[in-house]
Amino acid sequence: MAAPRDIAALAVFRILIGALMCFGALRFMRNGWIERLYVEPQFHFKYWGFTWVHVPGEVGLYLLYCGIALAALCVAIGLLYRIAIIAFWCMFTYAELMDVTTYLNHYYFISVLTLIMCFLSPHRAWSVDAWRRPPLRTETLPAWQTYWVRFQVSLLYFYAGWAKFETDWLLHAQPLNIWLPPHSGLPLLGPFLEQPWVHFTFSWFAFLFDTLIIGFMLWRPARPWAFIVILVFHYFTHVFFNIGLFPFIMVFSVLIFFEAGWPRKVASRLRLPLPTRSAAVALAPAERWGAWRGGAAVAVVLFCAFQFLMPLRHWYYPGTVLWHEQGMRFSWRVMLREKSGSLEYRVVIGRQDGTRRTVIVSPHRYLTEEQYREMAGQPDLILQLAHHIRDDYLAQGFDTVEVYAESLVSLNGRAAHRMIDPSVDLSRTRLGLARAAWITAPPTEPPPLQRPLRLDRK
Amino acid sequence: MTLILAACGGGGGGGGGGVAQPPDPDPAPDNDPPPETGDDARRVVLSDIGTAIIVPALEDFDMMATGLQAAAAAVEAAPGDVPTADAAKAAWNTAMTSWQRAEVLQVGPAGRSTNPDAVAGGQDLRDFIYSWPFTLDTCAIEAAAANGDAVDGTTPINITGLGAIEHLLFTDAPDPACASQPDAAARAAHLSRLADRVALLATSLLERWDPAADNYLEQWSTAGLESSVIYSRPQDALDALSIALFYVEKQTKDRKVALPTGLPVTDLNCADPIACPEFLESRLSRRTGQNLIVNFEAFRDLFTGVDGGMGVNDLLIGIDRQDLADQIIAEVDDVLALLAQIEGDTGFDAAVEAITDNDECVNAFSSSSGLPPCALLGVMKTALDTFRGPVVSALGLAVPSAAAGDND
Repeated sequence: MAAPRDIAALAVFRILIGALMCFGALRFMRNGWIERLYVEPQFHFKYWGFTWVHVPGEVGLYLLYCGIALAALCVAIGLLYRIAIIAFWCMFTYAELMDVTTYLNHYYFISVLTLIMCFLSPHRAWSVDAWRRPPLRTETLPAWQTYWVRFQVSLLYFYAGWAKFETDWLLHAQPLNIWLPPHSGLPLLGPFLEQPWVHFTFSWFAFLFDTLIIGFMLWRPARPWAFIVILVFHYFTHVFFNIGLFPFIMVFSVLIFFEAGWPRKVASRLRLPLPTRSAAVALAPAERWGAWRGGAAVAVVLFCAFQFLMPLRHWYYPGTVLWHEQGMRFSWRVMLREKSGSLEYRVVIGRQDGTRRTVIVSPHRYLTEEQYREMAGQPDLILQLAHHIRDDYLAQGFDTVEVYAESLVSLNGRAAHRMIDPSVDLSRTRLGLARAAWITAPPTEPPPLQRPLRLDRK
Repeated sequence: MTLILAACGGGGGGGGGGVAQPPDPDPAPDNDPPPETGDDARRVVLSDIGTAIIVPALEDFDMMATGLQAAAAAVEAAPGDVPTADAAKAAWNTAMTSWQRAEVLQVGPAGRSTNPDAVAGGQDLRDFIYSWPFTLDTCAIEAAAANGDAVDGTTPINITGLGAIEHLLFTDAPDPACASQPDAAARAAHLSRLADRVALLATSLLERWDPAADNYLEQWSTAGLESSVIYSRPQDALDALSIALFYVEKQTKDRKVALPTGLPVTDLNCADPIACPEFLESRLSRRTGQNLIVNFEAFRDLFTGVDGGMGVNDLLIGIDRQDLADQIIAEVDDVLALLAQIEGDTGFDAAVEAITDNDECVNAFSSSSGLPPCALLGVMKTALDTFRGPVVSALGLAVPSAAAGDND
């Protein structure tokens, strides 16, 4: 773990991730997503335990994202790296915690990855810091720094793969059977995307790819071929799905599985003026493990154990996670379900004089279409909005408020089913980690398999 | 190969007159065209919808708008003449019926050109023709009439279009609270200017689609081919159609029915604490129910296709989802049946005004039976939940605001 490894791979990793995140923040602002996702909504869903995270005003949001972009740029060029990466992590994670409906696995991945980078030293080469402060310069870093990043990347692929080990994905090719046909206009591959056998092939390939790819990346002879497969796989995810920066993040991340000196070899082949590692440094001694470093190692191991266990928590909840969603987030279940739903609340409001009245409350009253679409299939968010509705009516002066949800959800093309027990008063239901008895049992019928589109003229 | 063999067998009989030909084991196919698949199939549906539904709807509205223009000119020539005014009201009603069909067809030039609801190829023509639910500034309309203001492209949408015409036609005099109090002649003259503008816009919108003019129909029908620069895939055009169809949920159901019944909210700013007739779409002309019928008929037609053409349901049937195709049509038919019943009784406007019990309304909505406008909302919800959920999922269609972020 303490053995010296060439710093080159981690330095390039730092540059690529920093540059990508800088681009991502600028893209976020340019696309108007600050307004759409944070300014327009009047209500924001909170993560459990993070209700203290508030959405700043429009100016504050732009300052936040400008700060993210600037910090990411500093990370990329290695200027005040330690401050920059900590600032980036704080601001980026804060931004991601502002509204649950914007949750994406790859943003969570960036949050975890940059948290790890706060404790690494990839700025000690090819950076402004190293240029300005010669004592900082080094050509090696201890191996654990690379291993830690590798572990996190491996975890994502592994769990993304095992999340596909379920019947809808493997036995019914859903949701790819729904998602791929609209892309049939693509050149060459397009016509095949209508065919169910292709959907099954892609489903099984994606399952095997995610599950096995890290093994091949760790096996030196297979590594170049595995990397080519990764490039092809993520290229297609980029083409088929509106998946943003995710393919780029993953391609940049798997570079860490190559030999630590790969950038120098590539530069040499390309005849770029990158210094080769000196022989003396190659023989640098391993770092000694003192008490402080021992404690840090334990912390790292605990962090890794937490990351390993976190995605497994859905086993605690009966039923399928695709339906009840308990344990869905932070578990690398990437692009796994096609879920659409409709929702409204029956709210019974009463006064102390005994008068009671029922009103129908549409989520649209509080949410944007974007938020509504995301939350309509996620029970904990339905509960959260129910609580907000309760508080809203109490603030209007009503003395008693009961909130019931009428929720219909279609999972992977099935007929819509009730997802919330309509007899449960959600205003009294607590949001927490306990098993949610107010979520109905998942549908038992298999999802339909849609055949290739074929029209017979009337 | 089969065709070649058949051709050889059929054409080689010149020298062999006495030889009996064996029966053709693979008779020539009948005249049915071969099935369309993939993106070609999607283009067939788009083409049929464009040719048999969208363009005819715009042609019809162009004709009705011209009729309204003539009727308004007659009012201008004889202000205060009741039969002439009644004829103009009838012309407006006819034009409105026609336009309500086009409301569900806001793809291409009719749609908005700017975010957040920008439409591919959008040129904002819809809002200039009919700006509802944007609230009319009725006093500004009276002021424009009093001043003899021109009506052109710079006229704000809240004092022009079919809504402004309805105001002038279906009110006898300005609201006493308005600063400007134009006389009947001035109001009639302004009515005529407004009708001229709508007629001009109707023709302009039709010309955008007309194959003999701007030919947006080709953009639509050939989506994904080189001839279509607006839609890079047929799915993009279908997505645009899907978002247009959401009009029936977001406007027809949630605004035209839910708001007046007072069901979805408790803090509406309206005089009646139970229902809110102020939110009826066409309260002056009392034709909100007819608007609802036309909206849903257009919605239904887009699914079934018309005149033997294909519709969205053919896409469902084409992927073996006849169940969904049957379900949504049955549910839309339930909506139309209940609407016909309401219109045959007191009419939707009067039915809303008759709501006096909120609990009864909630119960009717929940059970889809009872107090008619409230039950209607429940029946509409059933149909549109099917559209929003399983239908949109099955066809991989877009919903409004879909471009606001990444997936993963």
